[in-house]
Amino acid sequence: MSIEELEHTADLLFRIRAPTLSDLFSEAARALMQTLYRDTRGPETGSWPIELEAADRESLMYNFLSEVLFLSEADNLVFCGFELVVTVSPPAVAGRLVGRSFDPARDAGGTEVKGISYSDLRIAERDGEFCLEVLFDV
Amino acid sequence: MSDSMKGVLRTGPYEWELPVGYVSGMRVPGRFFLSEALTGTLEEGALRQLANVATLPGIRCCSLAMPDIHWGYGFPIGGVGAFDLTEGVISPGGVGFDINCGVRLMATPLTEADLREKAAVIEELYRAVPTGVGARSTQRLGKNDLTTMLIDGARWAVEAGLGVERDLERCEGFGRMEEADASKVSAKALQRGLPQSGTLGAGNHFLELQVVDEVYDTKVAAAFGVEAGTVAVMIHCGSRGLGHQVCTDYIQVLEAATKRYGIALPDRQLACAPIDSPEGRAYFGAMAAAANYAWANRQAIMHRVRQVLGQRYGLSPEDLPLVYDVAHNIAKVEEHLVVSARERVCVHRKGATRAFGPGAPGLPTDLAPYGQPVIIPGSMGTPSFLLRGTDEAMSRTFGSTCHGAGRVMSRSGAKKHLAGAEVKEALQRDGILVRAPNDAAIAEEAPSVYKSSTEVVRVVHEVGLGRLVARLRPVGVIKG
Repeated sequence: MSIEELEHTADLLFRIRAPTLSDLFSEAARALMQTLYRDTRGPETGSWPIELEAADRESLMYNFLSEVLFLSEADNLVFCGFELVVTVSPPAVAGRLVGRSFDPARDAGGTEVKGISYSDLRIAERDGEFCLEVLFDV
Repeated sequence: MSDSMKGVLRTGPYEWELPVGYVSGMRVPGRFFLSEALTGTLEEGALRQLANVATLPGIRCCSLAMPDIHWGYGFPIGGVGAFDLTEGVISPGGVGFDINCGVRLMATPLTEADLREKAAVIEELYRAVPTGVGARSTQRLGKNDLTTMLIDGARWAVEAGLGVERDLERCEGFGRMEEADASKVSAKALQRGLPQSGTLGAGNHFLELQVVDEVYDTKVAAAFGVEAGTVAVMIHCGSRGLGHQVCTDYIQVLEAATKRYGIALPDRQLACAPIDSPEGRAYFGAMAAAANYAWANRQAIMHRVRQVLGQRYGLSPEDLPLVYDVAHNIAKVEEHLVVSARERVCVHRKGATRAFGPGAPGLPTDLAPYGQPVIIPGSMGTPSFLLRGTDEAMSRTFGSTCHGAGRVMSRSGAKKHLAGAEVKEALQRDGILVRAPNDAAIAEEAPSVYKSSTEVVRVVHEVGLGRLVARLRPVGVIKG
C-alpha cells in the first residue's frame, strides 16, 4: 500500500495504491487525515460508524471522503484507523472510523482541505491492485 | 513557446485563443490573456479546463481566463464563463469549494514609523483572529443568527455591532446577494459554519499589514481613500466550512441533474443544471447564502482588526475605513453587452475578480465616476495592487479581471525545495514579519511558488482589464 503526492500546481493530488478496494478507501481516508492534521497517531478513544452507497465506485469514494471530512471538521475528530468493508455491487462502504478528539496543541499545524474534487478522480484496477488518483482542494 | 501552447492561436500581444475543436464538444472558443513570459508556466491541464468550460450548454461568447490562469478543478483558476439564463447552466465547478473567497482592503492613518512594535501588533492580531486548521470562532452565535447572516450578509455583521453603515457601501454588491435562500443550505453546512464565523482559515488565506508604497493615479487613489506612505490591512478568506459543504452537497445534487437533463460533461466536477431548473435554482440560492456568510465573515475579522489597532493607536472605526471588498469565487446574474445586445447572463468567476467600469450599475455614487476598486493580492513577499475597473473589462471579459498572482510550484514541490524557517528569515531580512501556525505553512505559500504579481498585473493594465491605482508592499503577514 502506498500514498504518493503527485505534482499539482494549486491543490493536492494523490496517487494511492492498495491490494483491495476496502484498503484503498482506508488509505484514501488516511491521506486526508494526514493532510489535515499531519500526525494521526492515537491514542484511539472512540469509534464512529459510517455507511454509504453510491451509483459507482468513484462517486462512492467522493461521498466517503467528503463524509470523513465533514465528520472530522464538524465534530472535531482526528481519525487514526479505518475498519471498512467496500462492496462493488451495489457500490457501498460500511464500517467504522477510529480516532480521538482534535487537540489544538498537537493537530493545528496541518493543511485545511476545502473539498474533494471529482476532477482527476479515477479508480483503476491493474496487476492485482487498485489505484486511486484524487485531488483535495486546499 | 512551451509545449502546453500547442494548438493555441495568438490573436494579440497579450491575447490567445483556443479554437473550437481543441477538445471535442466546444460550443465557443476559449480566450485568455498572458504575456509571452507568463506562457512558460502555463499548464496544459489549465488549457484543457478552459476548453472544457466551452462545452457547457448556453455559454455566451467564449470561455475566458485571466492572466493568473492556472490548473485547478472544474473551471481553471482565473476562469470566467457567462451563461444564457434560459439555455445556460450553473455549476459549482465554476465557483469552487470556497464560495465568495475574497479580499478586502482597509485603510489606516498610520505610517510605517507607527509600526515600531510591529511584532507585538502582529501577535495581537494573531491572537484576535482565530487562524489555522481547527480554529473556532470567539463569537457566540445561535442558529437564528446564522440564518439571518445567510440572508443579510455583511449587513448582519454591521447590525450586530461589527462595523459601520459605510462599510456596506464599500463591498461588492453591498456585501449581500439578494438571491440567498437559507432553506437550501444543508444542516451539515450549518453545522460546519456555526463555529467558524469570524475565523481566517488556512492555506492561502491571510491577514496582511501593508504600506502603500507607490500611487500611480493620485486622483483615483484619493477617491478610494488610499494615501502614499500609509499602512493598510488586507484580509483574504471566504465562506469557511459552510461554503465548502454547500459545494460538496450540490456537486452530488447536480451530478444527478446533469444525467437527468442529458448534459454530456468532459469533467464530473463541472456537474451542472439549467439555471432555471429546480436544482439550478436551489444551488444558486445556497451559493448566494454562502457568499453572504463570507461577507459577514470578512466584516467580523475586520472588526477584530479595528479593535486591536483602535486600542493600540486610539483610532475609531471611522479612522479605519474599508476601501473595498471583492469576491473572487462566485456566480452572479449581471447585465452585459453580448455581441451587439445587452443580455442578462449568469457570470461564473472562479479565481477572478469583478472589475466593473465607470458608471456600471451597483457602484456607490461617489465611486461611480472611477469604476470599482479592484484588489489584487500578491504573495507574502511580493506586492499587492489596487486597480480600478474599466470599460474594456466590461466589453471584453464580462466585467472581470484576475484575482492574484497564480501559483507556479506545487505544494509538494515547495515543501521539497524550500524550508519554512529559511523563507521566514529571508522575508524578515526584507522587513516582512510572518506569523503562522508552523513553518511548513510558510514554505507552501512562499513568494517563489507564485508567479510575479507585478507581471500579472502589468498584463491586466496593458490589456485594459483594470487600471493601476496603487501598489502595496507587505510588512507583516498572518498566514492561516
